[in-house]
Amino acid sequence: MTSGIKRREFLQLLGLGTAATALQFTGVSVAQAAENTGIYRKTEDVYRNKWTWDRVARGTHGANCAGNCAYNVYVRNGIVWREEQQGWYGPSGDDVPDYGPRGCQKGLRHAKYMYGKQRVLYPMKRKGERGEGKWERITWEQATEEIADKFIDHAVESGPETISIGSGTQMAVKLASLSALYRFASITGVMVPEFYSGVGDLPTGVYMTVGKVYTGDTMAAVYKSKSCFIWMANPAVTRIPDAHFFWEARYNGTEVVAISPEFTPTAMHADKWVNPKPGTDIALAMGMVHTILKEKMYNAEYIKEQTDMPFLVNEETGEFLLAADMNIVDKLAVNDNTFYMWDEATDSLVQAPGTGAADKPLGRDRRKVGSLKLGDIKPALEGSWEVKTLEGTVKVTTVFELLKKRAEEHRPELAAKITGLNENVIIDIARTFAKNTPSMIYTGYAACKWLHGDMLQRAMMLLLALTGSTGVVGGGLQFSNAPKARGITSFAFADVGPGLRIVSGTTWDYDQGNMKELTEKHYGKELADDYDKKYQYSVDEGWFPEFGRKPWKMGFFAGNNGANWRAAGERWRETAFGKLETIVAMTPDASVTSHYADYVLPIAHHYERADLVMQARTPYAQIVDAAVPPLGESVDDFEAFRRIAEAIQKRAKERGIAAFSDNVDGRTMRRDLQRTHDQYVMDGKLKDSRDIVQYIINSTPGIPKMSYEEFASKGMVRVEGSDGPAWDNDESPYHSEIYDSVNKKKPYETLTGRQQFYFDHEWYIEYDETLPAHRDPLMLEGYPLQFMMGHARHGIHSTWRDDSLMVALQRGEPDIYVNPDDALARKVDDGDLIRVFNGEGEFFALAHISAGMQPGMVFMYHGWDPMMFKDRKNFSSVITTAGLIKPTSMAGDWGHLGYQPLEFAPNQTYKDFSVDFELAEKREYAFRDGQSSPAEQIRSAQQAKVNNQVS
Amino acid sequence: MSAVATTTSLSIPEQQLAARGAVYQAFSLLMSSPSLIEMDDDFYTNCADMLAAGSAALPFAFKAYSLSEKLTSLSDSEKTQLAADYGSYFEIGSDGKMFHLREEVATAVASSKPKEELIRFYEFFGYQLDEKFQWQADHLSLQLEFVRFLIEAMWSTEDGERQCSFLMGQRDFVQRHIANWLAQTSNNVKTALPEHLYSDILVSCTEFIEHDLQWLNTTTATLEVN
Repeated sequence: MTSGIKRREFLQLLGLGTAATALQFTGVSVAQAAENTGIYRKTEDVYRNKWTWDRVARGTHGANCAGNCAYNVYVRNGIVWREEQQGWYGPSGDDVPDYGPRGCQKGLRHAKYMYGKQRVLYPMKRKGERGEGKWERITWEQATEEIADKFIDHAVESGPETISIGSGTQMAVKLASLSALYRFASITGVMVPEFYSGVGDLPTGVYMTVGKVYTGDTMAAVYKSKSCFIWMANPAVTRIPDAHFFWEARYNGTEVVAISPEFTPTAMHADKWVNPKPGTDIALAMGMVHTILKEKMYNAEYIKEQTDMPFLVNEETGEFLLAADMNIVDKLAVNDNTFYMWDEATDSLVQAPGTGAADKPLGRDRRKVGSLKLGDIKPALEGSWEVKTLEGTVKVTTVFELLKKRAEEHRPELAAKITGLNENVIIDIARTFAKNTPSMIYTGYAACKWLHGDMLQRAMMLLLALTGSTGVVGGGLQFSNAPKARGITSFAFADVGPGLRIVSGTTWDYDQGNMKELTEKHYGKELADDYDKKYQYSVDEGWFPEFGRKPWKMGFFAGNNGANWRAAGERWRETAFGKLETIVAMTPDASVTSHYADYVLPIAHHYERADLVMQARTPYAQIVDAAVPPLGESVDDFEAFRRIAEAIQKRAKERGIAAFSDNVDGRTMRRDLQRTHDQYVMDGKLKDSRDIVQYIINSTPGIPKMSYEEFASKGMVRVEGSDGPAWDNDESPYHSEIYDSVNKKKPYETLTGRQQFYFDHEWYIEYDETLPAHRDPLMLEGYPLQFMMGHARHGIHSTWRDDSLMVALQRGEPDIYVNPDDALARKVDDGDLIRVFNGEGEFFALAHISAGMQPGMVFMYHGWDPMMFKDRKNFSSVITTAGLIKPTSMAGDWGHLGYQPLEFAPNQTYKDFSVDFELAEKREYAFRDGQSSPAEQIRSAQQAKVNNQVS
Repeated sequence: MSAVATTTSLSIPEQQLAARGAVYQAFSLLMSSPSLIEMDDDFYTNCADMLAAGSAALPFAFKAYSLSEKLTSLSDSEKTQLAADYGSYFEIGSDGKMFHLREEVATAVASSKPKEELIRFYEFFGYQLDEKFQWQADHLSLQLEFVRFLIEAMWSTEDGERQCSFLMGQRDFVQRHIANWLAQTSNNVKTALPEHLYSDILVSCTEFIEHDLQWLNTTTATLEVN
């Protein structure tokens, strides 16, 4: 080996100067490398060294899939190469399966996806028309200052509530990021249209029944159930790391029944599959209720104590009997929360325990005092009595008696006609449900998306109450849970006070997009006028805030692909989104929303940021540690908001913008834009997202206290109070109010202090919704196919939906499932491109013919971005429901009914519409040569099966 | 030109090595993001000089004079526009079209194999990327600079075995990681932007790579080992 290191500059040999001849991307010495590297002969030589990792980080994907899966993220040379399930989860008790391993194909693909073509890497400014795709790369400084100037213009001239920050599924579960957003919003006063109701996921019927939306336990609770009805959910597809609990439960003797109109991968593994016609689930549930009542399979002691079933109701008016009806003192005191039962022990009227002892429920502090304990009272469930009131003698009966009448309207033979099921099937599964307790209903967000989804949830809760299963380990409605206090709001409000404006995404769209017109066009003037009248009345009365009445000027979309699909897709884009003066998309991945934005800011992806994720399905809190620096010029959400805040402060000072007063929910806030950044970073105390994570760890009960670094070294940390599968104790971070009511007899946070099934609000009486009842799903005249949709297997919302491998695992392009008979009638074969349409719009997709679909319905997995479709139209183009704001969901001034952000707000309807389809483009495939079409093959096979059965 | 100096064992004139290094360097700089590297007023002139001086001394016929002239004659506004165009065409896809200059994305390979081999090459030869460039280790500009690095390393050592090592490293790297995708990308750009300077640069770069790879194959033919 020579030691003759040359001292000259290499390129000076050509007479070139030193300028521009230095290596740009490395700081290593060439001369040193020249003498110290191995000898290369062929490519294999570079493979001789064992591949090692510079670092293995802990992480997960905060994509709102509720998976919360712990991953090891393998890093070398500043690149994430692969990830692997961390997989040392423990069980929740000695006799249940554990939670590991957790993960799915999307998560295991992310190391590739994050370097994909769709990544937004640099700040961009629109050059051409919106949606034209003409961009200019600009610096962060230019972007934030221009955005800041527009922000200040709108905030000062029109008020900060004309600016919105839409947070979405990329934001929802990342606690530090969401906290950063809320803090920015709280400081500036901008509007936050919440997506829970906005995407139709809000379980208002659950809230109405128990005063909370959080009724979920860990997934291990499934194993403890004796009958588990998977109803409007498809966990084999949407809960990949958790689905094993359902199949393992079967080994434990659990009867698993899947209820869905279409045959799903979940139904494939269940003991029974029950397929009611789309939108007839309430009839099925009430048919089951009828059987349970008729065969006296209900748990009488449970419903007497825990529900309003024994409460007395005036038979003539349909209203609860209240103390205010009984004597002048209580009437003057407007005592409308003292209720009565009929005591069989004394054959007399008695006040229901736990009622009347607290003031009228107000705001969020609705927890009542007293106890549900009945003591010596023996409440009657059945009967009718005469009671003296201020209005004279009236006849009263129980809620239970009224329920029997309502159930009679849905008796199995009638329910069978509505649902298309055999009545014996309804009776049979009712017996299964009632006899195998604790009974569980595992439901999904699809249950919320029907216009009358609230009544479906009330009916589900009714089934669970009748069998004494709510608040019992292994029973109840498994829907969702969330930390009681996530440190989010305390962080958002620290030093600045609560100045946050949260508006229902549903009412926001209704106001900003003139959705009444949409309703009138498709469902008729009478319905549109009626619904709108109630809507306006509710706002005028102050039952719901009027946040949406000022014009919308500027929209930030953070972790939110808002233009992907709405309940009035293109109309929303035209009437609301498109009218915005300024659109800012903050996103890691390009999408239709960013495509139509004015500014696009690059945001760090899951492995490039610090955050914390908590999902109640497992008893673990999960860290997101930055494995590598953010790609390109992307930054995490905290840093993006910090830069915007910094620019607002700078420009506000330069422009001399004075502080102004801002009224939020009756509170006067002082908005000083010249202090925006200082307030956001707590006068310098806050450096980065890790500080927020630490704040949340420190301030959230139930999370073991430790430093960020220690948490990051562990990845996942078991939360406290998680010895068993249920969130039934005060030590855990999660809501346990329902268990408290059942076990400790604390009244529920409802008007009656009970699981409440009867609602005598005047609007509920007017619409005959005092108790759950079937309503025919709405259809559009002339369009015979109900449109159904669901979460996809190969994407989480729109994330990963465009990944090449994920697309390759499907049909290679957006597809829609259609029934073979429906396809044959329209001369459509499998794989053909079809035009799906109704009076609102159209889109094109590949026909996926499946015998799993009922005639009269089509089904499409959602999340496909409009940019993946012809004419940039996805199924959102045919959704007509954005104006279907159910009047009773706007009811207020009645106990726990009234606007409660993220609990009781109008839930966006995404079902209750229909379409038709026709052949758009015949496609030829090699497999067709000499064969009958797949649709014909399916039909022939079905016919052969029928023939065999007959013979 | 004065008497030709050669490397000790391969008899390759130093001038030729420097020429190749200069052309690789020039194309690397020209295809780098203007947002990532320092660009002074003379940036394009320097690149033109490197191209001109380099192409004149190459061991094969490659003429970059017209490209050099275009680069030298750029006005200030054209330079500014060129930098903006880079962002438009290669970084954000300003007009709905995006030409990817990263091997892994351009080739749409489903696995990380290309990038793994890149890293292995870089690591084997001691080329360590600064942290902020690591995520785009498969970018054309980095790949081109790496070859220039190998050429200079070859020149830096007087050990014949090492010189062979660096030379064969160049050959295999160019063949497996530049020549395998650049031509297609270059063609895409030329088709979409026939009159644009970046089209000229990429076409010229592709032509250079083809010649250089041929020269590398010829030169190393007698060095093959089993």
